[in-house]
Amino acid sequence: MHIPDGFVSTELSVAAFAISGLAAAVSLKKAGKDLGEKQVPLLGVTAAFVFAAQMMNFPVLGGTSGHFMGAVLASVLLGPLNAFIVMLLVLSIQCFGFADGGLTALGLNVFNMGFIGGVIGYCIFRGILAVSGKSKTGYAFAVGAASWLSIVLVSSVCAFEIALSGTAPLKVVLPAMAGVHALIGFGEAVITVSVVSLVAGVRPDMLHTRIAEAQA
Amino acid sequence: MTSPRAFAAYFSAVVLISIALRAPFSVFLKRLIVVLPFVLFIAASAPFAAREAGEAARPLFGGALLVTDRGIEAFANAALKGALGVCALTALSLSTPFHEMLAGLRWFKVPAILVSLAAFSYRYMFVLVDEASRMKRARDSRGWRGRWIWQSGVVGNMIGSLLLRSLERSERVYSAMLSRGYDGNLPMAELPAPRLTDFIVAVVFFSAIMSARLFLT
Repeated sequence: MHIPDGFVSTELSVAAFAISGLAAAVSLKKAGKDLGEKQVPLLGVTAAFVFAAQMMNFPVLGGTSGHFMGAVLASVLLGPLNAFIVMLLVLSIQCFGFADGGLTALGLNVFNMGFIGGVIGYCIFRGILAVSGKSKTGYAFAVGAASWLSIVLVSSVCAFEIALSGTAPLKVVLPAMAGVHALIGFGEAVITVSVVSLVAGVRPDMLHTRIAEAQA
Repeated sequence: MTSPRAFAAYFSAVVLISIALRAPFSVFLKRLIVVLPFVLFIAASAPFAAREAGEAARPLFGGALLVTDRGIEAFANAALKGALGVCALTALSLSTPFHEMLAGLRWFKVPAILVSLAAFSYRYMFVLVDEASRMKRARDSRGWRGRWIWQSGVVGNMIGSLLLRSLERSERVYSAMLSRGYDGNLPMAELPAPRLTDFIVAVVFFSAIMSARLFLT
């Protein structure tokens, strides 16, 4: 889902850079106010973790594989604004250091995976949690459903952006992207749920506090 | 639509840089292979885009597929631009060590906290990637062969342990940094002072690219 250079129109890239820049300014300001210098190593290492976790492929069908995104995991662990910063870091380093995702599309990739995946994904998670109840099962269900939805949502938004730029027709890209990712989303959900329940069992203090209360 | 001549100019710029860097072409190829599936996946739908527009379409494979000239152009345009972006970023990462890119970001007035976060992540990225590949090797040496999506739980548990190890490592790192006098600011590398040749290369390259952009249409 890392959009390369040349796939989106200039107008869209510029608009996405503006939105992502604004979101980055807001979350950094909040991070600077709320969190002591202790958070710098924590956020930095979490970003490094998401990068490493994205390199672990999981099987999909008969030997094909997908890879983990981690936006909902980061927001459940650290809260939505910190998750946005983590995704911003991961995507920028992937772009500058490893040529993964285009430079002109960086704003858009941060918007898709950081804002839609992390922040909107977190809102979806809270919404489902309010309905599914705060039991252990309800919590796991909310984490899994939000992870699946975040993948489908981000890939569909990605398809819309590519179609809006006139690169490919919507009725080809949207079913292709959303269809493939509806399947990959299951892997994301399974992984996110097992990671969160592992952390909740071993190091509950590491979960974003309000959620840790919700689970107790 | 960028003209073929302009594309040729841009790609020769990348080739020139990589020759100047004495960079092996295999690095560019490796990066391209990673990105290419997505590029082709999306771009491959472009040739069929304009079919409803009532344009003249030419049959492919004995009429099984219909493509238009405009669609092929859109495909080539997106695929080439994607490849060019990968090559340019690869040239950047080969020519500039990451800490110098960070110092450059500071020069562009990117907030200090973001730059120290990036420095941190980049430092630990390789440690954690090594950790992840050790875990993968351990798993595979026990005979695991995942083929289906319901086997993903194994990967979930691996990523979970990786996370716990990462978080504990971040606590140890933080204590170690505190005991060495960390006060919330990471010391940043100073950029070397620009020399005359830097300016000359920058001006020549920029004007060459801009004239390709403006005149090769």
